[in-house]
Amino acid sequence: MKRYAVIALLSILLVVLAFIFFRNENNGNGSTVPPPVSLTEYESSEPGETQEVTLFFLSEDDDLLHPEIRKIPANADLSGKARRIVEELIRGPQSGLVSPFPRETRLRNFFLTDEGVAYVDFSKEFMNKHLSGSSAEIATVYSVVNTLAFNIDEIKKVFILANGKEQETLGGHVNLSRPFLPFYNLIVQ
Amino acid sequence: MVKKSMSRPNRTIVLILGMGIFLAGFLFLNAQENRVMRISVRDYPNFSRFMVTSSLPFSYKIEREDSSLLVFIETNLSFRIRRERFSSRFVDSFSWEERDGKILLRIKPKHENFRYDHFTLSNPFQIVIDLTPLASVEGKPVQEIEKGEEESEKTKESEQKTSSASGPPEYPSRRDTLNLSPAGKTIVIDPGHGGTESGAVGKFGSMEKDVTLPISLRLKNIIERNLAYNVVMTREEDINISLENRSSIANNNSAVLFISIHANSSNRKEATGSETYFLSLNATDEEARRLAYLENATSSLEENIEGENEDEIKLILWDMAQSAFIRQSSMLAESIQNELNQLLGTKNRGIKQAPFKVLTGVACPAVLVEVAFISNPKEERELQDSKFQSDVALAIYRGLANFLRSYAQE
Repeated sequence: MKRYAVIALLSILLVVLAFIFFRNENNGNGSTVPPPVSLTEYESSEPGETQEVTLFFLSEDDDLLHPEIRKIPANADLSGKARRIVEELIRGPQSGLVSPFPRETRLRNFFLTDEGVAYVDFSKEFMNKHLSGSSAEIATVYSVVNTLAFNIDEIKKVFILANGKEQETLGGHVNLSRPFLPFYNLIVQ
Repeated sequence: MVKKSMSRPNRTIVLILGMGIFLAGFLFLNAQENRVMRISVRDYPNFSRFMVTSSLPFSYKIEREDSSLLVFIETNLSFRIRRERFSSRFVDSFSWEERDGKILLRIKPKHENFRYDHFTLSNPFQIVIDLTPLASVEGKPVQEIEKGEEESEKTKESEQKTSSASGPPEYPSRRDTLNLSPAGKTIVIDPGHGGTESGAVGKFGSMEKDVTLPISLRLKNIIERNLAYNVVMTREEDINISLENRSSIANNNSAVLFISIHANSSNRKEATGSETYFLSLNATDEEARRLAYLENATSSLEENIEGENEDEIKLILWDMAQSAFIRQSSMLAESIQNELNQLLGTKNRGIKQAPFKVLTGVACPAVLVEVAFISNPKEERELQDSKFQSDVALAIYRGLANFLRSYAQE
């Protein structure tokens, strides 16, 4: 009888585990997300060579995008360079500017087509934790689009995805269902 | 005891079986939780699209019964049916019932005379039924009859008058877009967000959706008291309305103006003030698509483009209906922003352009007004204040009235 009880207990445990497992699978939006590449890894891999890139952030001074120059490890591969630029961007400014991204945002995926369309796939926090107001959405979108197009000539348009999917809008305002062209009027002169 | 006489392997089998049944039941319940059927309706220039989206595929049959369309969904599973609110020119209503273990969906079009096409999509499974109204017995297009004899004559007249006017080429719906005389005409006010879509949220917890509605209602009152236009609201209560339906409401009411009311938010603490936006076309892309279409449409769209292409092109156009009204929209935005600047004592604040989803499909001059920054604590409090709400509504009214006046003179 004792053994019976042990087996019964084990089976209940199994059912509970199965429950948890399937629950997770149901909401498991991010289960296949590759872990964000750690930044130190990059820095240690290529000690000497660096290149300068221009990142665009918000400023308290006005509602335009302001440049911040940052050094990143030199990268001959365009996609690698673009990834690194986006990662630096969502890491936030270091010179007193204002970040237009939710702190939790991660880059899930990036690819560049031969036609020069960059697909930038952010983690779901990019949308979930976003302030979702017109100005905030415009700043976020054009920080990404202008920064990528400004630093990499091959990038002509930027398609922004979140959680692996095309989204209707970022937070109810800005249309994400089409690729963006850079909009340099938003950059401070 | 009987149980004791059971041999050990037998007992294990019974246990495993029990667990299996338990798990199967659990999986079944879990799957059922996901079994949702979503029904939505969307208008295109010449037809309405009825869509049934489901997490599981099923077979179906469509039959016509008098003036209704019956869709028999062959499934012995139960679905939760979720319907989206809609406003459609061709679909009046729909209902569903269970009959012999099947789900029966009854679609009631607004006109008895119609044609339908259907096809399915997968991932997610979707039945798409397109309803196209046909010309009535007298051989007149349905839309014209709806308008009434007098009005259709009037519009023809003004069409001639305005067709020579400069400005963007006319949208192919043949609607008289520049005739802004008030009789029987509608202004659509769109209170941003609603329902589970709260929009931006302030430091003290006020939500964008809760301040856009009272301001919109005040604007509606002022317009109705002062002008001869009808006012239609995209929502008058705290409910979800899709962005597509908001533009459909404007287009189905042949709106002459579309005003979307919002409250702004920024990561900048210092961000304050009112801003009026009109649609940015994402430059070359959209313009190129529009021009490509216009080159084809020398005389009549129907003659030049055949079959499936026709629908596709109309679909693209409908999605970017606003592109033909950018100039007027910018003037409307300027007129409203001027009044807001005067009210708030702000200078130098110009109009802005952004790719806002809610404006893309609107086939009339359309703007989005960001009344104030809900992300700024001072302005968040103002947004709750009824005097501020009335002042802003009055400024927007003045702006749009000035626009209508200057257009009537042009």
